[in-house]
Amino acid sequence: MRCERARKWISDDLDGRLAGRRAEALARHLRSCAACRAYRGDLALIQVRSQAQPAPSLTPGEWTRFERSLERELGYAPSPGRRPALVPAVRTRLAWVGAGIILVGATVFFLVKGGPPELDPAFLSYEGSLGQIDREIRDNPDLADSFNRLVMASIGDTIRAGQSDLPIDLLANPDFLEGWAGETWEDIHNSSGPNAP
Amino acid sequence: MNERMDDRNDEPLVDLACNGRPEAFMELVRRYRERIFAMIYGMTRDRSDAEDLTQETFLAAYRALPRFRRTSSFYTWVYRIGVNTSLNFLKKRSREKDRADFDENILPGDRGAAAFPSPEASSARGELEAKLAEAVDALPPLFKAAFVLVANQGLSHAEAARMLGCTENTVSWRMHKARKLLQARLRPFLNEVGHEM
Repeated sequence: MRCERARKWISDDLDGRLAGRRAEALARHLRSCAACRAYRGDLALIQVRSQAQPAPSLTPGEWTRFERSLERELGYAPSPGRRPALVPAVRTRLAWVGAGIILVGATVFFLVKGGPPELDPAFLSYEGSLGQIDREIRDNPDLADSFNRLVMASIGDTIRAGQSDLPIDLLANPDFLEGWAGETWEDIHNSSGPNAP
Repeated sequence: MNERMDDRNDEPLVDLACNGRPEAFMELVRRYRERIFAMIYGMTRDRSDAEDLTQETFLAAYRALPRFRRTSSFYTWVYRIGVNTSLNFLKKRSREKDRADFDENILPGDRGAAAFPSPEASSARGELEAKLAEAVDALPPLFKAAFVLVANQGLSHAEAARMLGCTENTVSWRMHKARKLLQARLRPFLNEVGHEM
């Protein structure tokens, strides 16, 4: 056997790819060839030293920096607390709720400012507020159009607030929410749910 | 809505990432970044380059996700992208630096022996590892890729062939030639360490 072929087989042998007759032929050759034995010894040492090279890694801080950088490249910027982004359906629903609250709040505000607070308790229910509006605009296309534009603008503002990763202030403000009774929340929920009129 | 990503398998995460959920892709990044980084570091021997190329690898994977045909695992697919990214980098660096330290036709003991000072005055075993890293770094890119994947990362010839897009026989020949070059270059140190051991 020529030494060149033997050395190729030595390499295969180190990678566990030599068996059968080839392995036997190589063993025979090595018994009679000191140069190839020395060569095999050198390769075995290189193999051991290569495997002994410590596997490097980055520090936790470096990995964090790595992640932030990659997220920027992906156009993904999670909030500091890693809160998952709202899916569009939830965001739209919240926008409707927000719009309803804004509408009711604005109406209450102008009524209070405009005269004595003689509010009908039923006003804060769906029937007394959104339901009333619904009935009024149903047969008046111009009024319906104006109302829709107002609501859509309000929804747009709320969605933009949601997309900017900032909390929707109205819902995040505990002082605002404190003023609402459980019944009111139920009405708002019903008016924005899938079975809403 | 607080969806946990870290208890999901790779496949659903890939599905989510394909559907525009980068947080799912980031979970995949966290799973495999160390292994990809280690492989790329083996190729580049430079932490900073390895970090950049790891990021480049994942970015390329994210952009190519719609074309991921699922004929292999996500990890294998990303690993292959990492290998290609590293190879491109090495080829570019090789051209830029015009490094021809290693030539396939180099005669054992010729340039290799002249490239290093006499090992007699040094701690040969400690120095061997540094010289080995240097010698591996100077291998031609394709030989280096095969050597790093098989000898450093412990891949079989079949696995390395899949990563490199070649046949097992090609990997076998590249390993043989890489070892031959390394042995020629490191012979003085190998002799020294061999006598000590």
